[in-house]
Amino acid sequence: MKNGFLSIILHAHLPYVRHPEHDSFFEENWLFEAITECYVPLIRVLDRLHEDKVNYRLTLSLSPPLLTMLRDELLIERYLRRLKQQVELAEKEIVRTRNLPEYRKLARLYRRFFLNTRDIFQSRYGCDLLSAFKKHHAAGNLELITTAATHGFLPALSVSETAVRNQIDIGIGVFKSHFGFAPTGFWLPECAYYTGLEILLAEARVRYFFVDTHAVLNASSQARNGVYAPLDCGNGVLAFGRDPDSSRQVWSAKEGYPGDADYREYYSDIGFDLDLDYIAPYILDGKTRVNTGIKYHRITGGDMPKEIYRPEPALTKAKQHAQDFIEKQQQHIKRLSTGMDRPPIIVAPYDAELFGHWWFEGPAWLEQVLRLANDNAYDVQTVSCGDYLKLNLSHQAATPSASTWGDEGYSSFWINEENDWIYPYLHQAEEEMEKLASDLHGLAVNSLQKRALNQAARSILLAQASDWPFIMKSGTTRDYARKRITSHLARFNYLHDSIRKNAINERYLLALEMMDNIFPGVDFRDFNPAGKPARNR
Amino acid sequence: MTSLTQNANANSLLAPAEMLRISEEINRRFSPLVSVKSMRSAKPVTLTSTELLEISADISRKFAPVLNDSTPKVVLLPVDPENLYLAWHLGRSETASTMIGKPESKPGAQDIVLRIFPEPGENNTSPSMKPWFDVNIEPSKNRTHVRVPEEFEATGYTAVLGKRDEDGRLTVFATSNVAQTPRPIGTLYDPETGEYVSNLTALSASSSRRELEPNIIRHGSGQGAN
Repeated sequence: MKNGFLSIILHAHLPYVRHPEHDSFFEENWLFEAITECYVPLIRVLDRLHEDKVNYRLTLSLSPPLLTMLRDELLIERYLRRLKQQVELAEKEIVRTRNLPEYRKLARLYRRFFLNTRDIFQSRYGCDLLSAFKKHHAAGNLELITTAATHGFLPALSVSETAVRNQIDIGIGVFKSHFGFAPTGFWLPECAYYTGLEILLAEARVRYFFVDTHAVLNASSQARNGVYAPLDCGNGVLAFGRDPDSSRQVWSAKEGYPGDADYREYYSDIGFDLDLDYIAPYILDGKTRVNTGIKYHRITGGDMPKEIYRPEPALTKAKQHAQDFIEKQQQHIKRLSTGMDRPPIIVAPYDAELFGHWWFEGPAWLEQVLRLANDNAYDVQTVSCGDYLKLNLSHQAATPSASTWGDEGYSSFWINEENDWIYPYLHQAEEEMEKLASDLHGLAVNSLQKRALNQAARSILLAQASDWPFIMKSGTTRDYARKRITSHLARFNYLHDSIRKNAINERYLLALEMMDNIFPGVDFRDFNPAGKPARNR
Repeated sequence: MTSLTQNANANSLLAPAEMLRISEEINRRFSPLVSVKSMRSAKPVTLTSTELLEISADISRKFAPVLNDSTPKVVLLPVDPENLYLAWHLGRSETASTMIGKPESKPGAQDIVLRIFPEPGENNTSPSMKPWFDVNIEPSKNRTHVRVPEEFEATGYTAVLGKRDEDGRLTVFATSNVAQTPRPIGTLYDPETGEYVSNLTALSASSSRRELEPNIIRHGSGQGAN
């Protein structure tokens, strides 16, 4: 047995972006880009490791909106259409760059990349990426966990215990419906913890969750082992703290690996760089420039003009960085293990979308990290936190401090002057939904009423996503975030009014069911605070 | 006979149009929700994207979120160890009476305030201090951020929304939830060195998470305002 453990967690989440009311929609590209650049490359890595019989453990958190979108027929059809366009564009680029050998080499690389993506997505996994993750879970390499129903920012919803309970239970319910088993661990959206949350997690039979470093360091009693051993929240639910060093090595734009000059430059994309006439068929509605996924330059560094991207040195650099990462973890474990009464565990969580999308070489880095950890030359063993529980150690009892992994470590990114107007509306809608469910307690409803009530519940959940306040603060697609939250609240208001007046327009209800078709198993009665708390237990 | 007489009297008191209005109002507001049979017809197969868009726009236009201000309410959320977020509404009657009374009030008198009480905890306020602090609010606003005075820093707070008279007494309109705040920065045990050190360093390291803008949704501008 090795002296210490490394637990890498990838958290994959996108808001629910599905717009059947439009023939094409910009924000759906978030999903398409993530499939091509993150999820398929990750599966490519897992497949290779499996073929090479590499013994590794990795944790993947898949959010309920993402799980739903990855099995949505409309989005899959649109994704394939987009992928076809990307292959076509790469072929066009091979012709356009015929007198630019280095560019042409990259154009060919992109063509192979898109074709291989299509092969994996369509042929190997039948347009069902969840089956790939399930396969690697069954093989014993991948621990799968999930998060809250719509990635709600739980501290801001906590004025209603029912709201938080539903976010947790419905999230777990979606996961179970796709994978057939309950997750052991739970990813708190934005790593946002508040005192008492562990009670609801225990009710949902969650065994562990993650918090940021300072949540453990400011725990209710001094954390004897820092963030290198979990805390028992007092009810058997364990909180694992993020290791600051391994986070910095990957996250930091200044010190982190992804900022290396040899790596591909994310912001150099032909969707923005080439003539509009040429690129028009491959951007949004032929007018709005968007990323095409074809990028020819490397980061280069400083104020230098961007140089051509060279895949081989970039791949070599990724391997070097992987080695550096593993060596650092090994040194860290060696130092830690002398002062601890148990094997230390280094918890390294990252957004899955960092790997491949923002950091093109990220999947190669991850693959090499997992290969090196499998090597006996390194005294680091990859585990999931679920594996760590099986050591049956007793853990220090303490509750973490309220915290998030966002800027400044608390709630200010999600509750500030840019976005705080949403909370009175969210709280009011939740209260009205709970009142409705409570009023109907013990009463039968007809099928149309039931459909409307369940749809009202979906509207509430979709309005609660943490993405909307995040986007409002970060200021990228602020109008879209505002539009989404007000639309979901308006849809809730409409349904609430229709139900109260017993004047449900089935055509309107059907339209809402078609547009917001998430959570097929939602039950409005779960919004009754006095009702049975959860269906998924 | 009595009832007939009463009905005759009622008919003479109410005009037909008025009776119709009352009848419609009662039907609208008090129709039995669960006993009415389903109005469901055969489920339409589908709707076109244009129809979806029209329905979506219609709902957004007619049912835009509006805050219900019928009863006073206050909600408190902790933002960080030193800052609180408060959202409230006064309720219709309180808003009206406050607005009417306002011009005649002396400065500082009859103010609408949020009175914030630190919850009993490990860092209680000193006995000589008032056990609360007040935040004046403008009736036209419905939310604010409050920095907790240093001497009041506690592990949790509640807020009361009310009208303060000249003697500082409060007529309470609403009481908030209890909000637990994050623990203040302390020290940590470093198992590598065996020493307790300030965890400010660790905090600054952890806050680097957003440096890379590491989420796929952070770029571009879209057609979000459709």
